[in-house]
Amino acid sequence: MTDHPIAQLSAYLDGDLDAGARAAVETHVTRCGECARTLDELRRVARQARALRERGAEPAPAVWDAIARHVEQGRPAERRAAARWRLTLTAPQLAAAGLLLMMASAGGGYLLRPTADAPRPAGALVAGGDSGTGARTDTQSRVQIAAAESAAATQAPDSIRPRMPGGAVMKQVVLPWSQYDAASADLERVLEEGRGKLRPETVRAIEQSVASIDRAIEQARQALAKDPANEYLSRHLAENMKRKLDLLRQAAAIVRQS
Amino acid sequence: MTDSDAADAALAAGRDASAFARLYARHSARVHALARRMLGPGEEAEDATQDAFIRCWDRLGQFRGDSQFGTWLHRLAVNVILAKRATLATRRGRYVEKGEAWDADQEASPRLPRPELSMDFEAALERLPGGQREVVVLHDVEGYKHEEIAEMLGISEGTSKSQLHRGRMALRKYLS
Repeated sequence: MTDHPIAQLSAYLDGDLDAGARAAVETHVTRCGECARTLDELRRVARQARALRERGAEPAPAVWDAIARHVEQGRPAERRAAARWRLTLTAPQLAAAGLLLMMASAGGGYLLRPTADAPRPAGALVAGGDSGTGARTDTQSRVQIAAAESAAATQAPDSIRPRMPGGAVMKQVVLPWSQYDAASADLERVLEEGRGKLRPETVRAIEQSVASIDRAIEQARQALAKDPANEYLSRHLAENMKRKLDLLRQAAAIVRQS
Repeated sequence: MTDSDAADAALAAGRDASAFARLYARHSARVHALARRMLGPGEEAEDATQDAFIRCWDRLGQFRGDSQFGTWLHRLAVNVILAKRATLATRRGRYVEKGEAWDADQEASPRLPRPELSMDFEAALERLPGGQREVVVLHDVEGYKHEEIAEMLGISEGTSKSQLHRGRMALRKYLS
């Protein structure tokens, strides 16, 4: 009596036997009713197990409560999100992100830089500080000068000339708005071109979130215009710009996958 | 790809808690079921479910949308469950020593209608010895290959195949 290849039946079922072993099992199973029945049972076990894949089991409500507390805390996730943001953006976005984060850490969304043809003052004017005498040389001023010059060295400057409270005119303001706007516009274009591929409610959800973030960005910009040295406002502005770029990047990925 | 999942993942990556709550509502049952089948019903499975979604929230910025969100979440959950499994290894050893491991010679359960049959089958699956249960769940329920299972569980492919076969042989008594 030929040995029953019981131990090989699962491997045969899963296609894990070489040609010779597979042929031997097939030959045996056609002649042995017991092994044929066992093989059929193993096939049904595998099928029934596979059917469990979509069968869920609701967790207790307390599971979500603990998760919700973590979500509400937010801080650890925000710090990790900021670090990852640098690693996942495209090159133009990285440039904008790097400049935004540098500006936020330097303590000002607006930085002053002397124009090329004007004599350099002893210390930089800090927006919102002296009204034009140029005599400050404190550490914060030097940091802001360094940040502005570094920013200018890495990108083409955009010049705007707002008038400061008290009448002082900013000589030149270096902002990476053009790069942020370019990155944002590129992503929004992808989303617009792929709008038809998404469900209306998906488009609405994304548009509402973008509009909400845009309002926060505009409010922060306007507030910074009145208080340019406000570090909190600078950080708030940078975080919202980051949120918008993150959201647009993910939305563009959705369009590409659709 | 599910439009809703992708949109909510994008929103949640932007720290939208409501979007994340929707993702949880859609996926928590499946993650918890996987945790139960791998770790057994009870507190460990709920802890693993909680940890999986917390890690999901913390790492949403890494989800680039180049795979389905459910697939990404599932793989993350498997990693969390396997890490928890490692800390429960000693307890699993005691579980077997107490004789609560599957006895392949037990009488089959009486015939039952289809829903109860699948419940019986799942209950039987949960009673398999840990090694067999894990491989049956990962291979037959979740669709992983033996090469992947071996890497996940720190065993050889040969061990994975033999554990699968033993588990299937034990479970066939609960088919009818």
